[in-house]
Amino acid sequence: MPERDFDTIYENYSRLVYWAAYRVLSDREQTEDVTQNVFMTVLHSMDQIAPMSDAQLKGWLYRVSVNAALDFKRRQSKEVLSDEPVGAEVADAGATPEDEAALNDTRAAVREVLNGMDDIYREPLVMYYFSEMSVLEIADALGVSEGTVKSRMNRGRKIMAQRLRAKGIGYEG
Amino acid sequence: MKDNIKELNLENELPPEESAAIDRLLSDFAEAENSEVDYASMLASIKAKARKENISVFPAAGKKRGTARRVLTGVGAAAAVFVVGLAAFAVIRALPFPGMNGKTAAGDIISQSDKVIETEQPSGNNVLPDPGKTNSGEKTGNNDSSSPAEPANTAEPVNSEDVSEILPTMFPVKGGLAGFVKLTRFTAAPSCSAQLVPDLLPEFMELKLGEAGIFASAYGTDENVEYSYSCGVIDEADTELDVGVARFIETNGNCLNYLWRVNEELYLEVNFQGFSREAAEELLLSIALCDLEGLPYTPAPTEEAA
Repeated sequence: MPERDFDTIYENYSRLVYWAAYRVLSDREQTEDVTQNVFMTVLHSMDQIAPMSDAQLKGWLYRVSVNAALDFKRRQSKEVLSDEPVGAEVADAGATPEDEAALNDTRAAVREVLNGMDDIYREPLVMYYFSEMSVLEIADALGVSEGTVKSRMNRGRKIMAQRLRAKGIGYEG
Repeated sequence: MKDNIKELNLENELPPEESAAIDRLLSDFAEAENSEVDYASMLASIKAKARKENISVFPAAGKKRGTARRVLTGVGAAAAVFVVGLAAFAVIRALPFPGMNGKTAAGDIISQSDKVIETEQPSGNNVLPDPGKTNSGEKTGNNDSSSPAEPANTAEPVNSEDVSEILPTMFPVKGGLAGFVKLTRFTAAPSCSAQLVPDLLPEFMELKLGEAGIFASAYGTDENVEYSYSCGVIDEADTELDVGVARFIETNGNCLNYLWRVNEELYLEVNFQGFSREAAEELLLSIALCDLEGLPYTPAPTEEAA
């Protein structure tokens, strides 16, 4: 059973937690809040975490992160509904037009395509590339087979290629 | 609901070189995006919060293993006693009856047709088959359907998010799953490392627990018929259900699909292959939690309680 201290857990899994939450919230500031809350939960749960394997810990962290983000989003939407007029909902990628302009075309296009992709294809891509989870870990976390994960990732890459081409964005093949 | 068949039917695969290019593009993009996240600053904030909450993290002083300790306040102690009391109550409710392996909780009967919960006793017009009978026809022991049913209001799952809520609480519905069935509210509490396993799996089915997550699957063949059970999370459900309610959705070949809303945001799609509707629903109703070793799951006591 692996021995872990909090700093090591944070170092190894902060990306996983952050992007699992970001996938739900699409807002960097909110995601940072949720990430901090999740790691506070980790601090409270060090004894339960201790016997977990790395794969178990990853799955647990992913689930806790998504649930925490969903809770945050639900609370947020209630506040938005009560406090702000319609239209004040969070922006799709948490980036202002100014931010977008500062990014190069390809990056902005990739982000746009990724954000616009059906969640069923986006989720495994984000887990794989951003959270650095393996196909097996993704399959376990999502409760589907490895084959299904691979199929969805292939399909996601294909959608990415098609939409980038449609936008006139080249990528080196 | 997503059409899994269509999903897997991928025509025109991306050429390998193009797929590799997209792979590189996404890797670079993820790296660039990650570089804009200030993980160090977040860590500092977390540690500041921890100090405020009297949680000390001390891996640096020689010993590498980190520990979090929480100061037990009077309020915390009282809360711990309450949580343990609730958990104990739920465990008692989930205690096995003779012949059970302990994973199945109470078998209270509640009719929930069109979201109206009745409070009748289980009766002969419950279309569910003998709940103690598996698909293979063997008696395994089961929910205590002979025990008096409790009124619906006392049988409702606890609404708070303490650990007692993750214990299974199942309500076989009078009239089967043609309408709705109240299963359990599952909040995936942070301390939960449990998986969802039907209590009444036939003996010829082999249970497979994943490395992580709440999901499990089972496969087996009997008299040349393949049987399987699996469940997976879906992000969006076309059918709106009350929390804790499951519903039969469709049949794909010999595969039966059920939708189960386990909490406010999470829907599960539960699939049974090879089973009749009656047998599948019997299994569905027997889903209980087990831990990652396949043993009946009991939440660990909190540090305060210990």
